[in-house]
Amino acid sequence: MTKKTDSKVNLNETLKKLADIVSWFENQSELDVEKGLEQVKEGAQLIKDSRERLTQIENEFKEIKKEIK
Amino acid sequence: MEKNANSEIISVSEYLDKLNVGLKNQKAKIIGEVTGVQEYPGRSYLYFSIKDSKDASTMKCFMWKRDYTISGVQIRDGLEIIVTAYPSIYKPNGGLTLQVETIELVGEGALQIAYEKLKKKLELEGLFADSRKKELPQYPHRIGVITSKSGAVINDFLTNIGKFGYEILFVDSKVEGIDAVKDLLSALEALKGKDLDVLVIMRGGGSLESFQAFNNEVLVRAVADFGLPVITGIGHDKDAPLVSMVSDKNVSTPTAVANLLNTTWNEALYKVNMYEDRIFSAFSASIEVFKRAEDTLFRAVDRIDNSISRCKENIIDFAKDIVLNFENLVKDVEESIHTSVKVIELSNPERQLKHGYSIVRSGGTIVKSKKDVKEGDCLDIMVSDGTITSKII
Repeated sequence: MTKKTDSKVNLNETLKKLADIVSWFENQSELDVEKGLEQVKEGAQLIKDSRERLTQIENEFKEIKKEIK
Repeated sequence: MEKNANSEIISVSEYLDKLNVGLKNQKAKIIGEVTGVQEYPGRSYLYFSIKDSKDASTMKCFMWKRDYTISGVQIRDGLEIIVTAYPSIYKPNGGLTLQVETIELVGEGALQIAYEKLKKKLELEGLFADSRKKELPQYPHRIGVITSKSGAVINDFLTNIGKFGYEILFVDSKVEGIDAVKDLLSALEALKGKDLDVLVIMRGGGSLESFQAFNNEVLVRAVADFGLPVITGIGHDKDAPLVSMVSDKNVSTPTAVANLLNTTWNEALYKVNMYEDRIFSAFSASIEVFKRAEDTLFRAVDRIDNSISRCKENIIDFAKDIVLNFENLVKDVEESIHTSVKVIELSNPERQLKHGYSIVRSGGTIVKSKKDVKEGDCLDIMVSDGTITSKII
């Protein structure tokens, strides 16, 4: 059964948010560990969501490929 | 053992019967002038005589009214005719009589006159009018055919009729001369009421005389009343036989009849072939479109595969980057703290006490110069392990 929240995850948006987090770290000149930790927590959740969504997409795609090949 | 004919004694009646059987084989076509026509209303027969124009030899003739009607010739005194007849002895009086089967007019001129007369009569009746012509069925299937089984006509017809699954009910009939009328009428009768789509009557070309049967009033009317569409294929030189004029469609040859019957079927076949081609072309085009769509889809599949792989790599890279960046951040903070600790440690004055330095306070204030104290002041000297109290003297 598909999780309710799964349909809300948009892979493109999630990947963009991750890119923003990486960019935040790269542009950080002051040492703000508190903010860094928040970013890491959010990044970890986004990575988890992205992986789950990508796995779903991959599985669906495998089924489709079976039908058309 | 054979009986001696001379010794046998038979009755008059028996002898006449015997003679009449023999005389029946003496059928002939006899030419002569009509005399003494005796036609009684209500009777089924008539009498007349035919007289030889050279020596006035005469023979009495008997004819059934039905045969007379079928012959289609109106006899009158002085008219030259040919009778097809056989002799017979009339038993009640022993008189010799010709039993007439058919009557024909003599010579092209007489035939032409009779033809024109009958044609005019039937025309006035409206028998040849287009309005009474029946339409041929679009796809004739069951075809009644009347013609002679011998001769080229039926062969030409069968050779040219297409292979469209026709069912042909063929009735053989004489088609030559006046004798053919009875045969043709019988053939029509045989096919009347049969489950047919169309009737075909055919014969080859010939003189007006040979067409007499097809100019016969009874036959013309029988064709007109047949009830189904009739096609005629009766070849002729100039004057169209009246049967062909009364038929619903007339063409000149058996081949033309076959072609006429084939026309709609050929057109249908052409259409079927054309539609078949169109369907196959359209179908091929659809397959082509489908193939192109399929190719595009397969290419899309590869691209989606690549995208998924790229996504996976991106997620891994993001995870690595975030972790690494955070670790670096934490490391930087740790280093910063460490540096601060060192600076603080190095800057702590108490650290110097261990090396023999001391801090002197007087009245709670650090003494940095001898001017800060005077004799009698108490001094608190802080060393590494405690405070020494002293007094300036």
